[in-house]
Parts: sequence; C-alpha cells; structure tokens
Amino acid sequence: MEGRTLLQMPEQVRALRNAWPSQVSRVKGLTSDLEQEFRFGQQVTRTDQGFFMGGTMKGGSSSMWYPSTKDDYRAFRRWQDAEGIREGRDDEAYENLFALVEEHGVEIVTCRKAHSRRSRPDPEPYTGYGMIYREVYGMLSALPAEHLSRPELQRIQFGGWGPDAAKASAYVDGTVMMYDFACRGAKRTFLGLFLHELGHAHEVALSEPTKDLLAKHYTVLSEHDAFLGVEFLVDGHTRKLYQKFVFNEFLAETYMIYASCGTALRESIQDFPAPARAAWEEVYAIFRESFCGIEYE
Amino acid sequence: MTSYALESETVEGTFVARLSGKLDRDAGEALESLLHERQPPYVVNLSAVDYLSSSGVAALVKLTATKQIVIAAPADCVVDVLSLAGVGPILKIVPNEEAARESAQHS
Repeated sequence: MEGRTLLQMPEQVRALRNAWPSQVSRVKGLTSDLEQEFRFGQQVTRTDQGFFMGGTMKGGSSSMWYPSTKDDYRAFRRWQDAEGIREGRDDEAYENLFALVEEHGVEIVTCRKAHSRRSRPDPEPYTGYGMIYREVYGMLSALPAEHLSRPELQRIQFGGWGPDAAKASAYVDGTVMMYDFACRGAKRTFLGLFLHELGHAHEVALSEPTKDLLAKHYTVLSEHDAFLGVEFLVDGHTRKLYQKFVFNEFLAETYMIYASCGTALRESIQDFPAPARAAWEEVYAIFRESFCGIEYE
Repeated sequence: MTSYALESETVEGTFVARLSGKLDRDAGEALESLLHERQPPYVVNLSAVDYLSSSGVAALVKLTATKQIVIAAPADCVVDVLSLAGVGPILKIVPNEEAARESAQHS
C-alpha cells in the first residue's frame, strides 16, 4: 500500500499474537500445573527446612508458600532457562538503550535493593538486566519517536515495588514501573506488561475529544464482547473481560496489541460482526493516527 | 486428596459459598459448578483461602462477569494476588460476609 509504514516489533514481542506454547514436552519434570504456576510468577525455593513454592510480593509483606519438592525445584530452574528472565550483562544493549532514552529525555532507574514499601533508585543503573535492556531497546526503537519524547513518559523503572497495592507493573505520573515481580518472571509477561504500561502513557496523552470518540466506539465493542485477549500473566479470556470492565485498560491493552500483533489485530477486526467491525475500524484508524501513521506486522 | 474445602449455605436469600485452602483450577471449577446449580445472589467468602493461583484468578473474574458474585473477606495475600494480576478493579470485594450479602442483595 502506497505511503504505508509497516514496522516490526522484536520477534518475541510479535509472538504475543500466538497462544503461549507449552514447554511441558520440552522441559524435563515440568507439568501443566507447574507451568501455569511458574508463568504466574510462582517460584520454588530451597531453604533449610526444605523446598517451598510461592511468590513473595511487595518485599515480603505478603506471601503464600506451600511445601514443594526437589523435583519441582529442578523443574523450576529448567523452566527459568526456557522462559524466564535471567540476569546477566549485555553491555551493547545497555549502551544502545541508554543512548536512545537520553536522546528523548527519558530517565531509566533500577531499584535493586528495595525491600521496603518505598523503592529507592540504585546510585547507578544495574547492569545485570541485560536481557531486559535488549528487549526494551527493541520495543522502544520500533515506536514513533513522539511516543518517547512526550511529557507523559519521563522515566522507566526496573525493579522495586510500588507504593500501594502489590502489582507486577504500573504507570504513575509519567513513570513506567516494572516491579521486581515482572523483572524476575516470565519474559513473555514482561514484554506484554511493558507495552501495556506504555499504553497507559499513551492514553493519558490522548486528547479528550479523541478519548470521547474512542469511548463511543468502546461502548459498541462492549455490547458485542468484541475484545482481543493476549495471553500473558493471566489467560486471554480474563484479559478480555478486564478490558470490558475498565475503559482505560482497554486503551492500554489496545496499544500493546496494536504494536505487538498488528497483522493479527487487522485480521481479527474483519472477523467481528458488522457493528463491532465498524467500531474497531474506527478505533484502529485513531490508533494509527496516534502512532504517526505507523502500523505493525 | 483435595487442597481445598468448599462449604455453602443460603443465608436470608443469598447463596454463600465458603472456600478454604487453595483456590486453584480444581477449586475454581468446583466453585463454578456449585454456583451453577443455585440461584443468585451469590457471595463467595475467601477468608480462609491462603493460596490463589492464576486459574483461581480467572475463575473469580469469570464468575464476576457471569454470576455477579460478591467476594467477601479475602486475606491480604489473596488481595495482593488479585492486584498483581490487575483484576482488582473489576471484582466486587467487600471486607466481611454480612456486608457482602447486603451488597449482593442490592446488585
């Protein structure tokens, strides 16, 4: 199509368009139930008293731990290798990312030693988030420059915990926060959450008339249950319902889907019944305009 | 051996399900089946639930959408998981069972 700008997010981001493929047959000792737990952020830890499965949230203020086994511990470690975020340096990714955000006036901080309710930034950004820096650089590079240089995105935080309820990630006052939970769990979840939080920066930046227009189309989509669910953290059906209940979450999720699953989104729109399809086409056009005409594969 | 227990009774016209232990896939399916057999309004008391899996979260969201359940008295750890999954805003959560019954009657 003439004049069309079609970009591509990194491969693992584009994989969000597909169902989350099970690793059960590939990872020794992994069962469907264990896989579901690990993907939801549960971990198996070895202690003096034996093995325990659970997930400490918010610096240990709330946790749920159940006795586990050595076999489950081994399965967890293997699952981490297959799907988890592993720490380690990637100096090239670090330099690329920090140069990119500096160009747009965005600050990156890490909060590695945050065990209290208020996270304090490390004196210098942690270098061991190499895998995260690589993926984030890939995502930010594929976004319009305008999305990085606007006042709604001033800071990105990796690690630490939020000031209020336990969350995996958040967007507050110009800051995208990817908490410890997100930085230590499944890579797919991190990618989805990061674009979702950038989507909140986007919806805050939209003008009120544009939001009103989107709200009008959203009403039609709600009436027809015409939402798209991308599976990460929770299943796709739950993410659909989530959008149906909260308009701003629909906008943030649509941003994520628009950028990561462009082709799948355009195809899905054609499958909806006529009123929902028309509403989606309007929503898509508004998003395309807000992406400076850029579309994604 | 199941890792949960599910009890229920009807209190002043409201069907109350009380779950204890793990709210996982099995418990979520059991809860869904139980509510399917009964008439609304529904209250799900989670005060004795000490573990919530992603399947449990999905079950609560689904039952909220389809049965308009009111969730009563979840422990902090359960509230944290719901918040972590980002679904807190779409669920109706009330601090105690009596208030939950009242809320369910009026919803």
